[in-house]
Amino acid sequence: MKKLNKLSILQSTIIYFLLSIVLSGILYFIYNYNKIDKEVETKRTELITIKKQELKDIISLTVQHINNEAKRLSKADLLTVDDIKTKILYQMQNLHYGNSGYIFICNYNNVILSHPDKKLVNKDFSNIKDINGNLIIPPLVNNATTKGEGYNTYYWNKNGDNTAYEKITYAKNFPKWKWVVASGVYIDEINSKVIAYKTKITNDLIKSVLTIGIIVILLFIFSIWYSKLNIFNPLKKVSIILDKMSLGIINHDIEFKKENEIGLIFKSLKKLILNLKKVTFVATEIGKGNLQVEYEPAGKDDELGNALINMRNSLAEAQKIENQRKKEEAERNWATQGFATFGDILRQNSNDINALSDKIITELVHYLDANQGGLFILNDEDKENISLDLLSAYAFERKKFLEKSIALGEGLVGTCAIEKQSIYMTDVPNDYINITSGLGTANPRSILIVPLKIEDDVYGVVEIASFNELPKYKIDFVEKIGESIASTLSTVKINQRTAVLLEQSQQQAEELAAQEEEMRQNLEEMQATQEEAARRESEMSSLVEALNSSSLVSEFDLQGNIISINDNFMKLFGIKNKDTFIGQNHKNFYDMANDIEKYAEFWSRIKSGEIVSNPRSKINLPNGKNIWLNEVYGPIKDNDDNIIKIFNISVDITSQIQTEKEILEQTEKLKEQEEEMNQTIEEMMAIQEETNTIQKEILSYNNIIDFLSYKLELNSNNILISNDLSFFETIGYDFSKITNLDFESLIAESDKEKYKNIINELSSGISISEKIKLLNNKSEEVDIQLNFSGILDNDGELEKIWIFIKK
Amino acid sequence: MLEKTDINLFLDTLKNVSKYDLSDYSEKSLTRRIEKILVDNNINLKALIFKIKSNKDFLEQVIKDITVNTTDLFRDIEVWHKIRYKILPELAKLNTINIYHAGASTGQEVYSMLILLNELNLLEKSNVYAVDINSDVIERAKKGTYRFRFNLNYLDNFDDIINKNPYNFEENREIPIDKYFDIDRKNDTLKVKDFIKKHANFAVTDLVKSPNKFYKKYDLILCRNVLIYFNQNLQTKIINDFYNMLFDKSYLVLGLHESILHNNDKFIKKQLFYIKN
Repeated sequence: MKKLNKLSILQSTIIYFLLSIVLSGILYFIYNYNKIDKEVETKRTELITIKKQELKDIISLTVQHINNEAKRLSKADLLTVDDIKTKILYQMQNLHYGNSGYIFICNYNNVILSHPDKKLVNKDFSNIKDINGNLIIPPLVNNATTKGEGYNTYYWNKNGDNTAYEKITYAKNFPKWKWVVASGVYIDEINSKVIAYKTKITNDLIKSVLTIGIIVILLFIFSIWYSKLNIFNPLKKVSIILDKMSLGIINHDIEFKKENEIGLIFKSLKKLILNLKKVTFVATEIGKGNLQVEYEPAGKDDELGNALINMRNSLAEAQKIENQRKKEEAERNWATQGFATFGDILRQNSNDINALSDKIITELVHYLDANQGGLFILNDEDKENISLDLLSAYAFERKKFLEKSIALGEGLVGTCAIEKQSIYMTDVPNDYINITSGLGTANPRSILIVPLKIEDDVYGVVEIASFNELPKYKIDFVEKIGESIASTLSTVKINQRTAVLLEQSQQQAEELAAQEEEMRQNLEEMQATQEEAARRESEMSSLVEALNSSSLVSEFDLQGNIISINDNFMKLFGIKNKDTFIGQNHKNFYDMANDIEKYAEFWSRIKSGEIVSNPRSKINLPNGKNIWLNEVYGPIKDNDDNIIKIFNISVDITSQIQTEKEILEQTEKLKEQEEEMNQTIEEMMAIQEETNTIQKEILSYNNIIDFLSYKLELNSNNILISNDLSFFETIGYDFSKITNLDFESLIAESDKEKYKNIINELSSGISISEKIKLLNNKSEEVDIQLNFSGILDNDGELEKIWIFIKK
Repeated sequence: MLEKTDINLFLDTLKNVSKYDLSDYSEKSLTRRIEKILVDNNINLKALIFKIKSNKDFLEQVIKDITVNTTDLFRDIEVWHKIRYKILPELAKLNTINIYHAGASTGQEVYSMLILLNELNLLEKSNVYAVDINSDVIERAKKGTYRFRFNLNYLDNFDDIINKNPYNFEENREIPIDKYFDIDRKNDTLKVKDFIKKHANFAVTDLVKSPNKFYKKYDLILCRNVLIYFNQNLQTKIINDFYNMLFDKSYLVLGLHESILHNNDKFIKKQLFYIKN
């Protein structure tokens, strides 16, 4: 069946047609063939009937002949009946008809009386049967005798043929002579006739069938040729065109002249192609982007056309949206690129605020395609007077605007900073000169003033002037970039401030370090000074002790009133109660007061800061006695060099005075010593500046002691360590080259114990004055007043011992 | 209070009458030093200027008084830890080690360095040079004798640097201080031993005028608490001089509060010291 589906209409038509013709031919043939058998049977019956009639006629004629012959012969010749019978029988024996027809006669006793086959004459057939076992003659005789005539069928051999064939035999009774006359015909003869008939009519049937078939086929072929020419070929053409159309090829020349159904198809096809061409054109135009192309759809139901229109319309709509989108995209890209550009600028120039703002404003004006620009930065260093300073300007005479400063709220720029809102102005009138734009009197088409702010904090204002109007997206961009600029400006500001602070703090650190070093230095110096002072104080206190025990020490105020006296003084002056004596005036005791002029000069010298010595001063003691003192007066100064008191160190020289010689010598010596003392006191004054008043006093004592006494210095092991060994010369030694002298070895044996006790006591740091026997160079004992002083170190241990010996 | 003009007058005078140019010294420090000199000498600025014009010795004394000469043995132990454990181990790889003490003062820093070098067995291949503007302190440095009682902290510092290791507390040496010093308690002296002293090369120089007195290149320069008395210009110049005097990747040690602000491309700061970039 599948194969059938693949056949063309023409092929299948041919096949179906041929099949139906063959089938109807066969049916017709079968139908007629069946009728042939019936016809043949009828024919056979008809032939048998004719044969039977023929047999009946022949026998009837024969019987009539026999009767005629018998009568003739019986009249003529006196012949006996038997003779006549024999003659007739003979005649009958040679009588034939047709091809093989013969007549035979038998009696009622079933004996053959006459037969062409002579062997069978006189043969009794009463019991002879045919091949099928049927009796042959008796039925015949029976029928003839009973019915007068009759037909019988049996099988009998043909002449010259031993094969038995079916035979119909007619027998008629001839009662005169008791004969039965019969003749038979072989049925196969009829059959062959029937067969010939049948063959004839069958051939006739075939002939007619074939003839009709051929005619029909011829007619069919013609009609096929016709329809191929007029239907199938055009249809094939249509098919090819449609096929190509299905592939998208629509450019076809189609022509069909007849206005029949095919013609209509072509007409419609042509219309369709035309439509398609139109649609194609429109689609092509749309494809080219021509969305304005006109197209009229074929009708309300033109789906393609309407779809095309819809497509064109929605494309146009989409294009509109796309254009809008592209525009927005372009604006967005513009802004994005701008953000990136400014991001770079803001990142790269974040050290120098001026360079940064120059770069920003230049780039901003360029990027906005504007013409002028200015960047103002909020200057809030002076909280009272916050202003907006023009940091950078673009397309202006820079110098002219560089220092431009606008107060908050002043003009549009100042207003913008206060309101923290962008200001955008268009339609700036040509003659509207007084607009305080901060950019002077330029007359641009539009002005945009945007605050640079983060959250709500304004860091500056940017002003853009343009000869074009600024679209909203550019304004938005400036506002957004304003935040970044503000952020960077604040960062840069902070960075700069931080850098300044950092440097400041570094410098402060160095400054502090320098101060610390200096202080340390000062501290070290001070500490050294203090240590020195402490050492000196310690020395001085010993000195004072020694001095007090060897000399007269007193102090006066500037009016000459006694402030203090030492024990020696009291002893010498014979004073019992110190308090009653203190407060008395100098002039009451000192003899020189009598010479008023000289005395006044003396005081004026002292008050001028001079150290004054009186080598021979006569004292009138309260008890009326006179003594002689070698005196030195020195001023004691405070830190401001003001003389606060006068001290006096004196040595009793009364005994010396006794001897003129001694006095003269003493005077000479004293003069020299005076010089030294003056010098010493000069030094003391220098030292005074660094030590406190008390130390200064002590220092003065020290020098005076040196002046008045020999000073020996021993270490704690009694080894002599002082350099000044002049004392020993007074007792005859020359120790200038001697070192490590044990002082104890100079003590007389009788006083050694006493000396040791003294040394022990000195370890508590006191001063002791004792007369000790020393050995001179001749090992003689000499009584000498020794003033011992124990000097303790910082740890309170006895460090050394000083011994003062009055000169 | 001294005014800026007073200081300038002093500086101009000094420049005119002597080889000293202190115009790039820190103004504040200078002011304080001069004020102290005025107080100590009990004179006014006019007298001071007059005196420096007329009295060369006094002028020298003023210069010495202006300069601050504080120093200690192993002063700032954290710095000496860095020197001992970070710097010297690097320098030990060299064949010879040149060390320069700019502003050596009384020499304690130099002897600290020599002691440390000796402890690390680097003394024989080391050359230690030291300069100061103040000839007095250089003389004292050469003597290497210091007051003992006043400087008892030297013992602690010595112990901290020589006997302890802050990076390893287990490590504990027992080097006595008298390995390097003769201590005389009676005379209150602490004296650097000769075997150390002989390695020190001292000279008087004005860093401003001739920074590289010995015409050497150095592996380590110590200039501690000197820059603080200079203004920024002079600091920059001195740092620049040091840069030229140092071998590549060599070391510079400044005072604790000193830093390189304006030559920061030349040196890399490493905690308490700098490495030449």
